[in-house]
Amino acid sequence: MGLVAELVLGLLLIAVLAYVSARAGLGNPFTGLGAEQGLGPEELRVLRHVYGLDEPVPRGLLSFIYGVLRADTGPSILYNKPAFALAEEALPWTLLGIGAGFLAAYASAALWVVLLGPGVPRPVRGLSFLPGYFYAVLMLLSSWWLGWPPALPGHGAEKLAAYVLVVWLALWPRLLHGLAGIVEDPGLELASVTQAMRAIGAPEHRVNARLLRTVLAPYTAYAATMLGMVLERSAILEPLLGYTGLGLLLYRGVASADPVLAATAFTLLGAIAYLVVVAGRLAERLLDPRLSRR
Amino acid sequence: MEKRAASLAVLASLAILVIISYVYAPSCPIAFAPLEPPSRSHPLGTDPVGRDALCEVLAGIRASVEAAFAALAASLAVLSASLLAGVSARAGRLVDSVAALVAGLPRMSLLMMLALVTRLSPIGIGLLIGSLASLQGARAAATRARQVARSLYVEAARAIGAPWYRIVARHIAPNTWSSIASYASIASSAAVYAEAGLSMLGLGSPATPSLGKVAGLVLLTPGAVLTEAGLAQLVASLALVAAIAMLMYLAVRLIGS
Repeated sequence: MGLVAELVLGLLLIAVLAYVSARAGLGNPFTGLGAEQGLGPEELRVLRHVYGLDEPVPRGLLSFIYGVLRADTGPSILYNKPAFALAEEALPWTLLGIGAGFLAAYASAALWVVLLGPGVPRPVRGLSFLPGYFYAVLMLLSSWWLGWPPALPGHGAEKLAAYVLVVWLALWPRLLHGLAGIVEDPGLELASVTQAMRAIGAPEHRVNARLLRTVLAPYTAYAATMLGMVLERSAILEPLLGYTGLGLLLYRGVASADPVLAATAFTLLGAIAYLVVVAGRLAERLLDPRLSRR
Repeated sequence: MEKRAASLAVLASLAILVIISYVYAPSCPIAFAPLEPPSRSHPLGTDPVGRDALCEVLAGIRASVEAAFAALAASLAVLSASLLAGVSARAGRLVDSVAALVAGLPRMSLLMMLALVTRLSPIGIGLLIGSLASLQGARAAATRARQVARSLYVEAARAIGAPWYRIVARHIAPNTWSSIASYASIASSAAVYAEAGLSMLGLGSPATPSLGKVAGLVLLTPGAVLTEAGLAQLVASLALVAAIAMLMYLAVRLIGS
């Protein structure tokens, strides 16, 4: 299957999953909110129409996809505002926090290889398995004990710094582990290059820099797939940190049984994460010498 | 061989731990004052609602282990199916396409979305994570199976009339088992973390005790983390989550090595 077909089908699948989960979980939100008793049949009919509950599922799905395309998926029950506008407002904060944390992790893993070589100590390899929310819990502890970052939800400079720190802590051991794996891959035949450079007396950091330059393309492609992964996990990190991005919006949508908000936030977050992963795979196909050689 | 025996012993002891938790911590009643400091009668103190925290932690271990074993089973099923499919060129291509399509799907956000429909049990989370996390490995397993199926010794086996199931059992499965175990180990440890993460946010099954729930309760109760009992429960629950995930990862990987 071509990448474009895969991308279109993948995005469609995300929209279908979002709509079907929201619709299946939805049932009748007004019952869940305890409002049904106070509403007459006409009011319920109007509400069901406003939230798209009176449509058959296939038609509702098409309306939802059309709504996503024209940035109008309906109102959020929780905030009483258009869900897409809320998601649009939150999205840049998520991208900013994760993007900055990712760049810091990308650069620090590369710097590690240049200064210390591609060998990764066992404890760092072990850290690469820890999920990001462990670091978010550490931030929560710091918030209670040291008063930093501030406990109240928001996306101010201190919250952003804490978010960047969490993403960096979660990502750099993984990126370093992945980078070391690429360098050690016999398919790249890097041993002869390093041996030749050492034989002519090149200092170790130059040998490492040369190694890094050679593997930069596959490393970047690998890093892109990690970025996609961390983007979608913002749904766990942001609620713990109280960072008001798209992940927190998704969590609030689910926790408060606001299906329109949850479906909109999930579709946006999932689509962006999917796009990043597919872009990473495209970069891999184009730039990774192990794949382009085949 | 010794490594494999040790790995099997680790997996067996995790299963025994689950049985012990069913015997000694079938339920943890609210019977004490909240957040009592650790003592001889309550080694981890009491939790923010007044239950013995050790009982909660013991009961929570089974959720993590159940999720891990469910993910392991799902992952082995998906990977074995792709291995079988990989032997045929057409089915192998189908596995490639499906795996490529689904492998990039958001996993944690999807589990969160599903919480709108139902609060998934640890086994449900394990089965979903196990299947989704193995899809990338499914491509690798199918490709590897295809490579082995084209090798000379498999051709020779075919030439002497060996049936396909014998070829799979004698040649293809042993040569792909290592990579299958590697992916299954990642899936099982991912399920432990996913179950704990969702429960920490209150999106796990409400009736099932979980280590994530123990941690989440401490984190969400104002000031609980500043008490001796709260801190002990938080550290114990997260350390156990990490330990179970790591043990599952190492044990399954070593069995395959």
